[in-house]
Formats: sequence, C-alpha cells, structure tokens
Amino acid sequence: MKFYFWLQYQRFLRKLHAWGIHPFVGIALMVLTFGALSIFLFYKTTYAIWIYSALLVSIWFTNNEKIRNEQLKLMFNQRIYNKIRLIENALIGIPFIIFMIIKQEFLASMLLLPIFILMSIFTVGSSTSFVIPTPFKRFPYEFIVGFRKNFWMILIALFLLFKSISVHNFNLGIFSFAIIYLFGMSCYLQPEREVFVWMFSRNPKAFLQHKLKTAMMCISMLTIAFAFILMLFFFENVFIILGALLIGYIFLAAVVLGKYAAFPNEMNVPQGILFSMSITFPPMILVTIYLFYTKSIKKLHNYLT
Amino acid sequence: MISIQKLTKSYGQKQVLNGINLDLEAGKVYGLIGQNGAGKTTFFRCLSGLEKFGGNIVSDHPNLKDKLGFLQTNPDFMSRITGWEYLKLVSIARGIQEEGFEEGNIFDLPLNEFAENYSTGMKKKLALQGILCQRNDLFLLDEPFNGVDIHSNMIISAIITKLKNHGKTIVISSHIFSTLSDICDQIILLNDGEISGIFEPSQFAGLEQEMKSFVIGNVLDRVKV
Repeated sequence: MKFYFWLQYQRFLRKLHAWGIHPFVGIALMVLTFGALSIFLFYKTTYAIWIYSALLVSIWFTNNEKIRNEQLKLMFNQRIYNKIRLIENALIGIPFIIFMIIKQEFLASMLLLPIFILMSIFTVGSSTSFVIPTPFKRFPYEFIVGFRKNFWMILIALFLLFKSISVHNFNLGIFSFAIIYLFGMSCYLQPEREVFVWMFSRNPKAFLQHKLKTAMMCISMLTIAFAFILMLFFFENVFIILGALLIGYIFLAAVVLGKYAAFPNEMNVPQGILFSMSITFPPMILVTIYLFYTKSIKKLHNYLT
Repeated sequence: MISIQKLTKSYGQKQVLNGINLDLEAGKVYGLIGQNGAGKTTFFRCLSGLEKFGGNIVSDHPNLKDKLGFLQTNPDFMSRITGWEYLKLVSIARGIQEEGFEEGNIFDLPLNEFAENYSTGMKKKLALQGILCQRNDLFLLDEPFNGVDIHSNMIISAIITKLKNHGKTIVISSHIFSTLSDICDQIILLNDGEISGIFEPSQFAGLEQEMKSFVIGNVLDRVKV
C-alpha cells in the first residue's frame, strides 16, 4: 500500500515535471490557488458552502470510477483496497474540511462525513449497463458523456431553481444557472483520444468552430429553459439574467478552447491559473480566450490539416 | 492511386520504418504481414497521418486523411456513449448527416448499449461499421479478424471484396495467412521496417510455406515436452 501511494506521488511529480514546473513551486502554487479561490468563493456568495460541498462530492465522485476501482481490486486484497479508498478520499477531503472548519461551517463538514464513507465503500456505475437517456443524443459526444456522468448537477440546479422561485430568492436562481454552466464546463475537462480528433475532415479552425457550436447548442438546451423560467418570476432582473447567460457562454467557450490548447494532455496548471484569474477579474477572459484559441490552432495542426 | 515514397519513421534512436516505397492502387486489396514489431501498425499510423514521418505520401485525394478509414487493432471508445452515438459521431466527423444506423447494422450490434461494455469482437465490428459509415476510399485494417467470431469473419471478408469491387483500396494487416491469401491481390512482407518482398497470388502458397519453415525453423527443437 505504501508503494501504491509512493507511486501516485511519483506520478504527480512527473506530471509537474512534464509541465516544466518545479515540484516545490507546483505544490506551493496549488495550495495558494486553492486557498485564494476558497477565500474568494466565500467572500463572493453566501451559498459558498453549498458550492464547496458540491465540489468536494464531485471530486470524490470522479475518483470513484468503476474501471479504476476494478484495477485496484485486482491488485490488492479487500482490506488494503478499502484502506486505499478511505485514505485517498480523506486526502482529497482534508483541505476542504480544514477550510470549512476555519469558516466555522461545522454542520456541513459533519454532513460530508457519511458521504465520504459511502463514496469510499461503493463504486459509481458498478455493473449497471443502464443507458441514461439524454437530450444531447444527436450532438456527440461531450455533453452525452457529461450528462450521464454528472446528471446529478442538473438535478441540484433544478432543485435550486425551484427553491429560488418558492422562496423568491433571485441570487439562488442565478446560482442554479452557474451550476448548469459548471456542468457544461465539466464536460470538456477530459481530452478525448487523438484518433477522435484526427478523424474529423475539418481544418483546426473549422474543428474548433464545430466544437464551440456543439457546446453552445447543448448548453442552450438547458440554460435557455432556466433563463426563461427565471425571467418569468424575476422579470425585474431580466438584464442580469441575460448578462449571466452571456458570461456563461464566454466562460464555456474558454474551457472548450482550453481543452484543445492542452491537447492531447489534460488542461495544465498554468491554464488553470489563467482561468482562475479570469474568474476573479472577468475582463481577462478575453485575453484567456485569445491565448487558448491560438494555442489550440497550433496543437490541432498536428492532427488536422 | 497512393504512392508512398521513402517512408521513414523512428522513435528516438529506434528506426521503425526504413525507406518504404509502395504504390497502392484503387480497387485492390493488399495484405501486410510481418513479425510483431516489424512496423505494420507504425506504417498504418504514418499513412493515416497520426504520426509524423520522413518521405512522401502522394495521393489523388487533396487530403488523403479525410478519405481514410483506420480500423485499429484494439478499438477504443469513450466511456458512456452508446454504439449508435459512436456511429453518429464518426459520421458527423466526416460531415455526413446520417441517423439510420439500425438499418445498416450488418453485425446486429446492440447499438443502444454502451460501446465500452461490448466484447472485444463487438468493439471491432462497431469500429469497422464506423469507418464504413464514413464512406472512405482507403481502408487500413489492422488485424480486422482478431477476436471476431467465424460468422463475422466471413462477413468482413465479403465486405472487403465488395469494397474492392467498388474501387476502394484496402490494406489489411493480419496474422491469419489463409484469410489474406483468399482476399488479397498482393501480400507485402515487412521485415525490420523494410519491405522484403511483394507477392502475387500465384506466389502465396510458396510464401506461406517459406514463412512456416523460416518462423518455426528449429524452434520446436527447443520446446521441452
């Protein structure tokens, strides 16, 4: 088990090395970014604890995939396997819990405990081949996969939307909107295999246009419905709703471009920092988009001509 | 017509393809044989543009890649997409707006189930159906018969013959010599990244015999029973 964690640490160091970042700088940057984003989140919204908890659960969720867990089960006996799962989930949760305790969110941190235990015991998607129907069937593939993986985010957003109407809280409605965009962005975090880009008979520019168009079309299927409902009940805030709609589209476009700027690798730390800076200072998103776009074109030239 | 001229490929110090010259004509089936590590898959990856290479590939098509279907040895699919959605994706990739995949479901695949849960053979059949949907002109089939049941093998052979009759070019890499000798117009022997021979149908029987004695040689003497 010790070797397993040593190996994970080595993988992490190799990843930093591949990005050209010194391990000490990389770890320091991650701690600082995490701290800064956490402070910013709690400063910006009263619903930060909800977002924070949802974020932690979603990370546990993604770390709980069937194929990965099956590999672990094949390698280790049940006792060590359970230990590994518990330690991994604890390591993920500790920074979040520390910050929650600092913010005196004791109840939320206590409520996360049973989720932590459940996530460490059960595997997501175990032995089920049930195909969740998706409205994105005709627009493969990111939203199809994302919907089946993270449909719970849409359920949470729907719950918050109806809650915002029932308690007449506009901010909660906007927050539900943000969750939908987060869902959309989550669909573009994992790069596909090279062959799935190579097979397109488009040049890099046309390929990006196709990807952006698909992303906008799919997200609109959700956000326009949300915006319409919000406008019905909070018509006095119509311009804020339209503004949020537009900003969401821009940030989603940045994530799509960011994905291909790092292709075939996952998005890297410098990209993450750039994106975080754009969240804290929104006008910067235009620079980020420009940088991601030019880099994407360069990267895609290796696969598309 | 596709003309491959002085094709070279190396990974660091390791030379994998070493100056391959080959002409591929329309309406012909080519078999590619060679030991593991001879460079067959690398050759396919270079031809498809997935790898950078030295030399030239000249084709009648302005952009060969867009008319090329590459069936990989172990086709891989994204998680949580169904067979139907995969076929839709590969069609969209080539600008083909088609949705009647059930009618063209030649292998009776469960298109509404997740592709990742398919068996090895079913994955291969889905990938093959995908490149057929794209209406390509050049087909690179890397071990198309591996892991596929006997009925499907017969269907694949029949499809290859149909493609050939429609003027398509097919290059097949396979270790199953008997199948290759049944459907190929030429068999290319790749050895250490070089073409060591191109054989016509009249030479296939001799080639098989020669390979058997070369490959097996005195290996059996070393097997302790």
